[in-house]
Amino acid sequence: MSVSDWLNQPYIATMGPLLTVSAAALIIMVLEFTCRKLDRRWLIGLALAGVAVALAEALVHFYHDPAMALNTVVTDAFANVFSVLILISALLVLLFALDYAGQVRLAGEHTYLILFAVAGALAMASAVDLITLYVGLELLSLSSYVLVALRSRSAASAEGGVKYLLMGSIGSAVLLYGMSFLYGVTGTTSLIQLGAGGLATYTSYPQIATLAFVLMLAGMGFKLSLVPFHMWTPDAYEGAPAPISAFLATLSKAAAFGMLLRMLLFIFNAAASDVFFWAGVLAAVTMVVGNLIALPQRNMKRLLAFSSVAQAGYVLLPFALFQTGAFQDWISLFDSLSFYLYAYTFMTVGAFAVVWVVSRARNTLLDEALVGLYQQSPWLALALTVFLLGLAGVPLTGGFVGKVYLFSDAVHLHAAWLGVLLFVCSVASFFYYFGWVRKVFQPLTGPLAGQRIHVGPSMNLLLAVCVAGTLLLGMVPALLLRPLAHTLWLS
Amino acid sequence: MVAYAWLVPLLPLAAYVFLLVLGRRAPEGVAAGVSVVCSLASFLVSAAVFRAAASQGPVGPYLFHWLTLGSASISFGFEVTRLNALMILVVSLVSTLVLLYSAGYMHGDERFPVFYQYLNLFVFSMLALVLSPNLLQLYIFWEMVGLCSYLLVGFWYFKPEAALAAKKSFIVTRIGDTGLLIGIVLLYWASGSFDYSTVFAAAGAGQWSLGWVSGQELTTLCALLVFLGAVGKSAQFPLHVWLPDAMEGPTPVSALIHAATMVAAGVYLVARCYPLFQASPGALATVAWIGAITALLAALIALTQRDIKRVIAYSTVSQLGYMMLALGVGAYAYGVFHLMTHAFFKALLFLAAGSVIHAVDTQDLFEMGGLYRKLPLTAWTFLAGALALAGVVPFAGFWSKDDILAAALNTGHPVLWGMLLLAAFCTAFYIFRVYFLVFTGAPRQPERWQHAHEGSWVMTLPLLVLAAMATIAGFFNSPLNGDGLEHFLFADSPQHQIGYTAPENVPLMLLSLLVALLGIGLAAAVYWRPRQSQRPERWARAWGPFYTLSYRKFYLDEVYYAALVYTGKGIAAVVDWIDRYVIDALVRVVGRLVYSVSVLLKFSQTGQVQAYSTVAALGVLVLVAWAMLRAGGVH
Repeated sequence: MSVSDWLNQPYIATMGPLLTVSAAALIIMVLEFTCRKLDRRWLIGLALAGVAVALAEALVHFYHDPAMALNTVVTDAFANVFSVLILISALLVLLFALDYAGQVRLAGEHTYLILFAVAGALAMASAVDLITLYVGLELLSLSSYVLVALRSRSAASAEGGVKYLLMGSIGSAVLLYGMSFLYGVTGTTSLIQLGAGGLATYTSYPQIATLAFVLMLAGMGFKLSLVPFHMWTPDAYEGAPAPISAFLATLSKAAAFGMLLRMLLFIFNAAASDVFFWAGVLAAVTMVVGNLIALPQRNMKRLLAFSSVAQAGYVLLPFALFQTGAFQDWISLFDSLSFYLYAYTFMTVGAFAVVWVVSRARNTLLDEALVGLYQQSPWLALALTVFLLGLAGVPLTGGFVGKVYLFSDAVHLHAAWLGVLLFVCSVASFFYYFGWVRKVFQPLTGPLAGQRIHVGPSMNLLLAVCVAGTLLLGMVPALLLRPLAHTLWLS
Repeated sequence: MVAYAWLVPLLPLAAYVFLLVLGRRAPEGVAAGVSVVCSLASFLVSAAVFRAAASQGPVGPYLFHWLTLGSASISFGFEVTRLNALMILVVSLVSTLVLLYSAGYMHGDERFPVFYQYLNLFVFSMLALVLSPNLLQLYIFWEMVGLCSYLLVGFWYFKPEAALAAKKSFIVTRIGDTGLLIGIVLLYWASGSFDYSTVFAAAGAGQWSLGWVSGQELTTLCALLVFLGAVGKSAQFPLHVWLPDAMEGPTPVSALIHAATMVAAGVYLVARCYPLFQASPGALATVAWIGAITALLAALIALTQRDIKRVIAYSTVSQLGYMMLALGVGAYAYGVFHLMTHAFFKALLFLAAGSVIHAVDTQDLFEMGGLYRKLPLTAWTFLAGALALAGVVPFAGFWSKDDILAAALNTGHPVLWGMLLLAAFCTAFYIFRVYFLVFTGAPRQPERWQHAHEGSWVMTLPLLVLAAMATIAGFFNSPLNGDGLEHFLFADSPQHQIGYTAPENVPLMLLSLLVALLGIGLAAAVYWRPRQSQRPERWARAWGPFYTLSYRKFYLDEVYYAALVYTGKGIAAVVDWIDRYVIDALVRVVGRLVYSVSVLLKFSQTGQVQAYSTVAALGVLVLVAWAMLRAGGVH
């Protein structure tokens, strides 16, 4: 490429948010190193500002015509929908961290590590080259390993970090192994070229293409904690600082789903009716095992961890439906998938936040801590109830609308068995979600009864945003459906 | 202006939210003041909307996309037609007056702000109901007004009768609501839309069917199901039994919800869905007959009741029957006209009765008497309402009731006309029985009489305004202004012709006036200046079984109780057994099984990362092996 070609690339439209977040991360890294006396919360505030600017940029370019820079980074519907989701969850996680840092001493590095992870996540959402996607994934993963292990005096934190590191590395290896087959057969890493030659690859090497698909799916399955690659999840979530648990459950998963969606669809779209069957298998196993194993959990963070495993199974369901092979049906699948992820993000961050406040006030992670929450703080109790009802999929919440779309897609696209399984699993999940709700409204006797739980302003703001998000998506789904309907998924 | 019609329901909603935020400790003045101001503003906007609708005709619907289900897109929004422009005007005016009146009536009640919260929520729901542009939205608000009615009837929940009455009103109207919901779903299946215009266009063309039912039958079925909803809400026979019991609520509630607005929602529903009914002669005949039976039956029951509010409640049931009959014989405009005049004079009668109850603290007619000297203003305003109800010229009820009678006769329904005329006679008798028993003669309980006094201006001002309306509202559709309301309403319809209008018929007018005067005269003879031979007790004895039949409300409550409650309990016992010993057992077995599996799975979570990676590696292996097998193996 000539110099003028280098200069005339649509950098801002494709990489604006990524550059902003990276710049903010670098500035904060320097500040954190030079101004040792500065209150860490100022740095988090700065990070919030940086992410907010990035979000504004992403929203400005939301309806931008598809464009590509450097043959590597694009702006299109996939990139925009997932970038906005990643940045919203980054805002929520940072808000959570702001409250957390005010009460617990936390190594200062976490602020810029979160931002580097966000940068990696944005790259995963917008890159169209296997190498760049992988680099983004590793940036996200490496930051996350450190973030999990960041509670310096906690053995559980270090243990969770190491387990996540080991399992995550196996996942990366499996993913790379799958990619290498593709490169070996086609000689390219560009998703666009891979997609153009997709059918040829599949017809000449069906076994190798299938092998690559399965390995890539399994490799990403480690990041998404799909069963049976999920076993690190509860340990990492339990050991990690509370905002980082929320980060792993939402932002990290959103980015991984975005990458998986783009990677598999671009490469295998022509062979969709054959290979996507394997996503259905994993989705079914994940839904069933995730919900079953959550049933007897008494530890709140571990329960939320298994709940997020089960929820990942729900989100994987549309992948199985790509088997239909009719492109016009895919658009509604993209809509359902992204709608569910948006709703899931609000509910999950909110639930982690309430659990943190309660476990800190009562000094235990066991769900006994929830008993009498309604007396101690009606606001926390109502907020938690909203999140739990949303996760269970009760009407008037975003979770309900999301599940209705997933269910109707499954039935509509002749995979009713997956829809029925989704329904049955949701019913089973009522057991543990409503178990919490019951505890929240159980009266508490004894000396604790009169105690009030104090909630700080940033936590209040976070909870209010999450409650509003959960309820608004449930009552006025058009808020999100309309922008989704106006994006050009396939162009 | 019409584009701002959304402000009309939104202002009471704002008041509701404001009071909700203030909570139970809000001072009475603030709660009442905010509510009255919002409601008054809502009335002013309604008036402007009404003027605009009169000049421009129907506008809208203004729609916002709400959600998409499959291929169906559901919107919410509002529309302004001439019919609902009139409705919002009446509803917001009566609401304002009742909200003002309640400040006096409920003064000192422990849950005063809560009462105002509920009332505001009701006003919002009612206004939103009439502005709804589609059946689904109407149904949502239909349920919300039902909920508010439940909350307000049971407002004094510590009285067992009030709690029971609240439950009864909710359950009985629920029967009708179920019919309405089924009707709406059927209409949606058949026409693919909830929007009035689409549904009616499909019904009018008759080109629809549902596989198991043909076009004409489907129209009739849907119309009857919608009418069932109206029967429940408007307390028509045989679902009228909840309304008299609902009088356990505070009197302003009775005036607003159970006289002027919510119970008229059923009439509004039939009027709004009139094209559907017009497409089905059978459904229209049913509406007419149910209306006539209700009008006569309720009037007969009202003759002998001892509770002042129950008499007026049965009178409401009876008058709603008149409106239904008007719609049933095709006299659309007269039904709506009577709805409007009735809203004014019936709200007036209730508020005046409330003023009496407030003064003497009893609802038993035979514990009152001679109150004219203590409550002159209440007596005069009650008289205006009573004359309007009895149908004496020139009060409001005369014009609307006379129109309905004329329409019934002219459309060839002499039997229905006869029933209505008899009901009109009873109406004049029972309302003046109340008037004479309460206001004339000697006090029957002097100690109560001693303490009686008029309420403050907040209670008397609404009475005066409503008395003025009860006196003059009839002229909106009299020959004196060229039948203005008919022309106003008919401008809506594309053919300028929905329903039938009767030409003025002077002999008929004179006849109905004579019947009303006869009723009043008889009441005066028995209750005002009774001769020894005509004392009320002697009358009661002379009419023996008929008196008891009327006093016991034709034993309908008992019949329903026996028929419904015992059958219900029988079915419940069977279902209970199945649930307990079959379904519960199954559920328990499945639950145990699932739980055991979960505990096993939990033990797989050993905490050792070696185990984790082994499981994961096995997972990858199985997946790859299965995939390779399915793909035909590697060559």
